[in-house]
Amino acid sequence: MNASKKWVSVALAVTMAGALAACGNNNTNNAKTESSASPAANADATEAPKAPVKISLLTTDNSQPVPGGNAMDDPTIKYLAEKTNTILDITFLPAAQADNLKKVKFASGELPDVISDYGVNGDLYANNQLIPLNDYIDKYGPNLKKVIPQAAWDGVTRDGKIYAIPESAAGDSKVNRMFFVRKDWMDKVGITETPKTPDELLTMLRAFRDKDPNGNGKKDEIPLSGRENFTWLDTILGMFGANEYGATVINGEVVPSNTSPQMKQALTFLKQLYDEKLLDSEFMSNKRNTWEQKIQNDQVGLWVHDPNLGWDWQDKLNKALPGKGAIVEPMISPKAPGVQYAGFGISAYNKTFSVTKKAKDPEAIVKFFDWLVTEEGQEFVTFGIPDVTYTKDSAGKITYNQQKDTDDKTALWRTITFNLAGWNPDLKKVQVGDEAVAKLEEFFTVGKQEGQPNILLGAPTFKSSLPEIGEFAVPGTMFIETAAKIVMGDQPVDYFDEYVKNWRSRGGDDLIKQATEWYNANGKK
Amino acid sequence: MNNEILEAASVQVKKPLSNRKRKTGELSFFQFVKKNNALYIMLIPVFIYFITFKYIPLLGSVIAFKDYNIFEGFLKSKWVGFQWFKLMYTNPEYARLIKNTLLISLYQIVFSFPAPIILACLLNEVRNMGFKRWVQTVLYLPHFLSWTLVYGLAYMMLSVQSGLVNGMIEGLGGHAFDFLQSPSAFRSVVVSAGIWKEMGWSTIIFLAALSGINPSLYEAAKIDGAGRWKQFQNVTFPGILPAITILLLLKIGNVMDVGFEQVYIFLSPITYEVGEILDTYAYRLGIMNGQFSMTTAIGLFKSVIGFVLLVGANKISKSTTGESLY
Repeated sequence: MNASKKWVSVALAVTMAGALAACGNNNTNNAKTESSASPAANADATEAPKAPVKISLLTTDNSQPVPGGNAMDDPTIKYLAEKTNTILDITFLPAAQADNLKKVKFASGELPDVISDYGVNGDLYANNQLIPLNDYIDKYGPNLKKVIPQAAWDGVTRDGKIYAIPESAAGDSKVNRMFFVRKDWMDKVGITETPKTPDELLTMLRAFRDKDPNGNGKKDEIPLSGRENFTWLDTILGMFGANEYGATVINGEVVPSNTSPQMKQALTFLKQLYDEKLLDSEFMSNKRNTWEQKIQNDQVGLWVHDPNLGWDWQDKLNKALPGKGAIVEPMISPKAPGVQYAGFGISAYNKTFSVTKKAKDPEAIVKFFDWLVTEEGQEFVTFGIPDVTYTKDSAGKITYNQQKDTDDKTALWRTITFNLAGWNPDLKKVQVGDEAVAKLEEFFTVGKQEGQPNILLGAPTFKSSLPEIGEFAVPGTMFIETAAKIVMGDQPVDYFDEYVKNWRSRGGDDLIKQATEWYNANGKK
Repeated sequence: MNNEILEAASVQVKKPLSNRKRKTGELSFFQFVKKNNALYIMLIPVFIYFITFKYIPLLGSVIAFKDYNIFEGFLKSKWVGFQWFKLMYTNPEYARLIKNTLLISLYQIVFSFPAPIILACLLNEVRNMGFKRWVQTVLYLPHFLSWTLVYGLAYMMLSVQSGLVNGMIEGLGGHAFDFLQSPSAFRSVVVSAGIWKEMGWSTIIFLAALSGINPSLYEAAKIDGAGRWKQFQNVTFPGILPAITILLLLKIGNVMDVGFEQVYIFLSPITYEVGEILDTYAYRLGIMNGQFSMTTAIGLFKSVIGFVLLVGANKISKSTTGESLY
């Protein structure tokens, strides 16, 4: 019994140590938040007219390495703060969980002054936590008004009030998801014309599967790939006029595209792809890195991604497959018979910045974003700090030190986080080179030619309290589960009708009613 | 698991204390406390821990009866009574959640619970100490891996395109089977992964119980001519039975907690049907959908069921085996 007693006392000691450590941690945390709050209070108290304004900004790291620790210790942020006469407190959330972490932050009462999102945040808007920016932008944002097109502003306006500053879509592309195809594979298997219909696309994918386009003698090609949770297959759905994130009018009702006959058709097509082994058998479990790995392994012929990354993919494949002659090209969406608009949903903006009611000085915040789209600001966004990562001679010619910008790990996060101006080919050419700009413009040209109009542009979020129903016109788990089951053959295609019935009876009908009412009052043109 | 070990440990400690109290029955409570003041001082941090981290948060459960809005806060949110609990009855989703939770829990009790006991008994019979230590260390290692890594390993083993297992199946002329995305295999995969990860670590408490068995009992058994199997049947097994009973009772109290991370990391829309449990649903409901009241209601519902089961199982155990938690 002795040994067991000894063991018990050890266990007790461990619990106590744990409890003590927990208490200790708590105390230091409290101390920290208190001490970091006091300088803010001081800054407010001084009230000198030109004292820098403290702004807290919540954004995501976009899966890039971002500066850690105190934001103002980072040279890039420090430079930006000096230029805009602010003190910046930037929090980068890991992109993959950003949506969840944001909600946790709100729940714990940590609302930032400025929040980065993709559109007007539904929760904050519904709870009246955002400041309308019209007056501030009219007075303090002349450059914002000049650089950002009206279409982008329309997307963030609710009842005539602007609730966010949008980043305009790059290159005026109407869509931010499109088909990426391996042109060299097409050449190799003898597909000379871009497929115009789903049937022609089938022919192309079958050729990818059977004719060994990667030339390794093995039948390891994945003609089309996608990612977990039924994502990045958007333009396949788009060929039939369906869109996971869109709504459509049927018999006078606004219904989410996820419950439309078009979606049923699209799922039927995907099921055929899956059955014929044309669609990645792991499309429901691929994480981003596995998916990227498969493409870089010369295994994938067709995939869906962001046109902004057109050059990025070409560059990646050049490096991963040297001497292989890989050519990445955009492919305009084929259309099923009778489909008017194919492609992904049209969106004139990418990320957005909203100002919350926590902000003490919205004027300074709008001025801050206005500076980012001035010529000087755009140069900062594209090239970094003058005389550190780029130099500008008296004639205005810019010499960009890309190597240093990359080595300092500043190039990626800075551009993604702060870019608002959309597309500035002149600066971009200096930044990434003529070849890259030409490739990107190829993608944007295709992007201008497709896309499904958003009939709910400017509508508030219609949301159910049940996660399986979720937000209106956003794929909830009920839809994803149904789609996965149909495509993978666990349920017949007609199971879709049963799902629609279930979805409507469990709360979908209510959302449809709200959306239809809004549409009849505001959206109809 | 860690908590269970510690809780079990504190349960074992209480016994000698209560025995002593009975012996010194003539002392009043205060005199008794004074006499054993060192022990009570040592208990203070434990009290503080339980009050701050277990009892004060209980007050937050009140939002299960409110329509909690994070911007209006704790007090101002609207009182809705039992609305969320009623929803649990009316929403067909809950039937499958409860079924899945209970089934996975049952799998765990039937397969995961005995695994470390068997392993501990086997280890106990190993004569070469060097070998025993080595085996123990290797078996402990998976405990320190995060579930994300365990999923990564499972993916490498079971993937259809690049997995070791499917490579072997195909090499032997079979057809690849998608273990990770088949509803029929989901529960087995999750529970097996759990056994692999925690089995070694969970042996600790049983090994401690085994080392607590009086060696003279084995000597006596040997003299009576008992072989190894007879010794196990008559000395080893009865020796660790109290520990087994206590842990089983605790496990039954936690029957609705099957391990959120373990299930969540393996879950995909194709396996929701068999793998979505109360915890993963509550996570999606609360964190992703901002429905904090509903989530709290689910938590409260789970606790009540766990409490009822624990009290019930404890009663049954007390009357049948004489072993009980309190």
